[in-house]
Amino acid sequence: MNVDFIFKIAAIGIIVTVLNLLLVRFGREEQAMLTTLAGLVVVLLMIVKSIAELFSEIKGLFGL
Amino acid sequence: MTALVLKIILILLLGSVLVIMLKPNRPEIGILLSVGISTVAISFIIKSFYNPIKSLLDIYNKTTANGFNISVVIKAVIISYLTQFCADTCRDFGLSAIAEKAELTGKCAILVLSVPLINSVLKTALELTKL
Repeated sequence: MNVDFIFKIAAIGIIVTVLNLLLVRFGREEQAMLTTLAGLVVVLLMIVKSIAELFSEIKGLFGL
Repeated sequence: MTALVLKIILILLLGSVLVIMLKPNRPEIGILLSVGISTVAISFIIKSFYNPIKSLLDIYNKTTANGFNISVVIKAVIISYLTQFCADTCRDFGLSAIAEKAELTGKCAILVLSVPLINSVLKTALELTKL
């Protein structure tokens, strides 16, 4: 768990924004929506994994 | 220690800038990013401050013979940090009702955790009245 994690999520957000803008400009609304959904799911998975890691870390450190 | 504080503060500031950048276009990813920043910060804080606090607890355990158990206090602190984390995240989303429930969970858990301590205090009081 380190700082790269934050930058990764921010980069995913920026890339999704750009792709969304381009696809909307080319008139592919459905694919733009799917791109947004895919980005959201990827970020959500990363966040859930990191929270699980944090909780297991706390459990291990304090012997709960 | 100063370098560590500087590091954590820099992480938080950079993360806030990124969240503010993402908020107008992708609000959902901005919210998730803010959760990610707080998990990273908490894991950093716990990892770096655990050993000094642990040594303090070791001194406490060596000097006091028996009786009052310090582990209850540590568990209460951990529970309050975790529930605070959850409540703050919920408040960030604008869900203050759920945040209140998270805090209530923490309060109940700490109350249950402190039952043995209350029990031992009452037992001691009873023994004293018998004398």
